[in-house]
Amino acid sequence: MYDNELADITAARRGNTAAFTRLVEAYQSPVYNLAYRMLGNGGEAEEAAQETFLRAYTQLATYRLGRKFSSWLLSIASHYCIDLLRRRRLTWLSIEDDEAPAEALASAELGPEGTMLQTEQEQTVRKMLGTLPPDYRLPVVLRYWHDLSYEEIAEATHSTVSAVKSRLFRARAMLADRIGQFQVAADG
Amino acid sequence: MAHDYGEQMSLMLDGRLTTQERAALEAHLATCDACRARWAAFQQVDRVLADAAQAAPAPGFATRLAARLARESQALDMGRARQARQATRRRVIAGIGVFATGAVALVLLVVPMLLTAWDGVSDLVKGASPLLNSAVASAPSLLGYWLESVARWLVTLRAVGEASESILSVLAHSGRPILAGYVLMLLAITVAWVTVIRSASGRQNTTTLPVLIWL
Repeated sequence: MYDNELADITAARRGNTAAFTRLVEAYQSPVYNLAYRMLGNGGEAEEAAQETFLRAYTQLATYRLGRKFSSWLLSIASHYCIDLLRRRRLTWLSIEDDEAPAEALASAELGPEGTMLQTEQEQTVRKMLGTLPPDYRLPVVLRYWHDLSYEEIAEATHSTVSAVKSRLFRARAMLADRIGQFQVAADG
Repeated sequence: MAHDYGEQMSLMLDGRLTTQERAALEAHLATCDACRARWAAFQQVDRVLADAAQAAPAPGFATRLAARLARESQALDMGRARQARQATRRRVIAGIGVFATGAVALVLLVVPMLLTAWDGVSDLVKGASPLLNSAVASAPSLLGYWLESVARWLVTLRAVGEASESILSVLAHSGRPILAGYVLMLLAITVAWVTVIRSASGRQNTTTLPVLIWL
């Protein structure tokens, strides 16, 4: 939360686009990162992040003051990404398919920050996330990149703490089963 | 073969084990090679994910979004204006409905009061009233009749008030104050018209009639 965030939210609710732009600038990275980690593609992440902020702009009246604004935005982004993945049936990426991440990187419209992501470690991370079903991938992203608690993840994903606990465990177990393969592939 | 400690390991990574649970897991890991290997794999996954960088959009994201917002805000504003017009129309129709219902209710309430008062005055003038039989239709007797009429309606209103108190206590919990208002209105109208009908059918003791209805 930054200084004057509440004032900007109130002004944005009244249609002040300058105030809304300040909110966008403050939260563009976490929203984009969530979309990028969920979708694995820079171009789709840009579109998803824009769509998230457009939805936030039109739904600002429904935002409850007192709730973390970042959590509210991440909740919108989460639902958009999950819906997109379900619609496109992009649930599983094969670990043997080296083309998919490469294509994703090639199509990504990344700036200097994006260039930094084209490392071996980054490719390993993207392959790991790509093997997870979206419902397991989402709590992992929210936990590791956004440092949300189990309770916050449950609220953002409209699920329960016990479901979050179970999904995180299953996701880690799936990744632990193949961590050796991921790292060998990255080294090769 | 690793034992069933996977969920405990996951919770351990997030710092969600109690001191006792943590000690139990560590004691088991000290004695089980398979679970120790599994725990090492969990920790490796945790390190890789925890060390991953935060992705950021290409520069100019806010500007691109502002341009899109400006493009799409026209359609959005048109939709908002249409919704506002529909909401205004709904409010006007609802207002007319409430006003018409209130006017009808008022007429239904006032008419029986006027009828009973008119009957009384008419009886006095025609000499059919018992009051007139015992005295000349003078100003004091006319005043007496009006006082009796007012008293009669006060008793009626009190009876309605007592009845409505118990009804309100039930309806107050229904969360529908409009429904409670309509029920009370119907109650008052019913009492008023029953009074008129009973009065017209020849019952003389109309003063106690409303009370008897509700007791």
